[in-house]
Amino acid sequence: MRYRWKSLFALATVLGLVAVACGGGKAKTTPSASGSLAGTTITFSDSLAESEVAAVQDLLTTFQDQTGVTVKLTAVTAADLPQKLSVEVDSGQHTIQLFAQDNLALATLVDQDLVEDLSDIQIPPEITPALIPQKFDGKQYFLPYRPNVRVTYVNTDRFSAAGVSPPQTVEDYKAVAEKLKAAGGSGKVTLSLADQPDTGPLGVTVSEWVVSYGGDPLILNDSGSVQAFTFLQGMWKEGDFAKESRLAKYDTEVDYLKGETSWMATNWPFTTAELAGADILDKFNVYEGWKGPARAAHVIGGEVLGIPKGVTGKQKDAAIALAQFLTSKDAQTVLVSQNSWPSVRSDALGEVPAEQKSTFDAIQVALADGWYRPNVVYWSDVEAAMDDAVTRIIYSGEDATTVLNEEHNKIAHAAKSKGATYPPTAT
Amino acid sequence: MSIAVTTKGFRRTRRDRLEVPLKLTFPLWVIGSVLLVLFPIYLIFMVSFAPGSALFGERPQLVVTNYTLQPWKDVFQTGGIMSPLVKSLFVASATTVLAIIIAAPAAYVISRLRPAIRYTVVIGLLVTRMFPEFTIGISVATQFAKWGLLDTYIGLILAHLIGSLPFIAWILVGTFETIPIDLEEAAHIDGASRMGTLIRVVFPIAAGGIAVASLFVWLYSWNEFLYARLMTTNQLTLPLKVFQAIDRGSSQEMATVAAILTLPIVLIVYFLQRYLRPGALTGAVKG
Repeated sequence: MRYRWKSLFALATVLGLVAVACGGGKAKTTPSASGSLAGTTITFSDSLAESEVAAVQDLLTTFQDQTGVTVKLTAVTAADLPQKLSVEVDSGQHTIQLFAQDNLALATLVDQDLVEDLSDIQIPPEITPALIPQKFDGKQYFLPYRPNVRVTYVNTDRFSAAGVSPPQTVEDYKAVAEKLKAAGGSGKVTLSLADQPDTGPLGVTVSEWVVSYGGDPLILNDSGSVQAFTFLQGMWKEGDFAKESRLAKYDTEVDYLKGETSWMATNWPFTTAELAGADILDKFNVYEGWKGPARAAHVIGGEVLGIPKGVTGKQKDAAIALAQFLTSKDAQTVLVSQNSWPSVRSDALGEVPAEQKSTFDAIQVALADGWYRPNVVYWSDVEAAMDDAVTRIIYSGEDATTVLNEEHNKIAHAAKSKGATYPPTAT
Repeated sequence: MSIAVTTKGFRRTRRDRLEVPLKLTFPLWVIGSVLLVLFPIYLIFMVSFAPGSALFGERPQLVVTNYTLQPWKDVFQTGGIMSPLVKSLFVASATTVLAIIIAAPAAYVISRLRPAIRYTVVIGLLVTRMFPEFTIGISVATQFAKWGLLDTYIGLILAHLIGSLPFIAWILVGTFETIPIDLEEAAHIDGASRMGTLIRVVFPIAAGGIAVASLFVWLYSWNEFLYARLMTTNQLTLPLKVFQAIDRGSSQEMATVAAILTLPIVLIVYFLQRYLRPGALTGAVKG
């Protein structure tokens, strides 16, 4: 008898799970608009920070109301997207009809023939020309979506107490770091040096420093690269950087700023929303950062839109419509005002909330000194070489010239084995 | 060990000399090992209840006193955790049930083959597990996609069976091998059919081994990531949710989702622990 009750209970649990799995979830909203695309359902993949999701979801709801197209939002990371699309393109079964991809990780998608040619899509004249995605073999595979650039966050109370102001040159930078260390008892400046593949913080940080010294990250052993690494090595050796820099990436930098482990850090602008959410944004000064001996350098990140190869019919039309909607003035204005994203358009400005104005201004200045990372198939090898160089030169104190010569050779070998032209043309 | 007794007393053996140090160090070794194993789990739960200031302040705390439930509230209210949780529970449970239904009779048959053939089949099962799943994952996912199985429960269950069936069959072959054929013959004599003998005599004796094998399959399916990543877009599993939290969430969100991933494992192991003892995989020998 007891055994039967247990069996019945187990069966009821399983049936309950089945019911939830098959029919659970939110009630689906019925698109209200009618039109040629009404009733079509597409999935848009965009890897967003949690604080950025709401604004994008609002836009998708607006698009749905206007066109009758149901858009599901999902998130496939930049590193996973090529494999995911490979499965879908090879099988002809698409679960993603439009994706936003990091503007660095585009070469792989083109080389593996995973994306549709969008050369026929008209790009609005209001799109800033410098922000139009590069062409591959004369074909436009990607559409502009959102550029992004890191800015510098400075803890104003700590800076005032230490008697320093935001650095404008690398000499200032070192002097400020030393004074902050003296005031705090340990390094209070973090560098984002956590190693993540493809689009990681370490690659961005090292690229910016190398370019600011006049070097080329794809070469890595030119005089600018050696000088940049030597400078950072010296600062690390003297304890001017917080040890947490080894683990610092986009989200931990926010925590370091919040917890005052770091009093000065460079990070992506979503940090502003995070600090505002913690009600401490007024403690920070946001500015574009300092200038290296050669120039100011800010890696232009951000995302572009693409359509997987093989998406056809109404789903393709809906994907194109959504892409055009996301680059419209109205949509870009929403993204500017709610996410503090810089706009790809020249006419979607001036809607930034007062508390985010300084961030937005800093972004505009930084974009003017923007540097596009080259879309080369061997970029992962470049990042691996950078990671090795950071470990050996900065952490272990090895000679910069010797190490960078070795890493340069590794990059050259990898580039040639992948059939790329090396050395690359000037960036 | 011999103890030579002399006129002056006992001669101490090597074991006697080690006895006191062992008595002193063994508990310390046990405590140290337990702490080493449990510390990462403690960290996960601690971070999930810790405010940011406790983790990333100037002096991160090892024991959080000012805990917060906000990350758990955020994950359950806005993090979309229920759908992945239900999907992972269902897929893992269904994979386990199907794996037992398919593999148990097969393992029984294999265990009754002649030794040369039996060992050849068992080695063949093991060889399939030697290849990293990554090498075949994309091909399998592509074929499943052609069959329209992307973003479906059944697709993921079938993908998980690919990895779990050889493993569970291998375990159960060893379990059934220890069950004497005499018991089956006795059941036949008493009038039981082949299937009746299997269900009423063999399987109950092998229950311990089947339970342990089920646990392994359930854990494998619960934690499986590759096929989930390739074959799901809108219906994530819980491991994918953890990955998503690692990629774009805060440390507390990541720890909270990881803690949710861990809880069912703790519960299931707790309820199945009576089977997790030496000899559980050898069945029971009676008579």
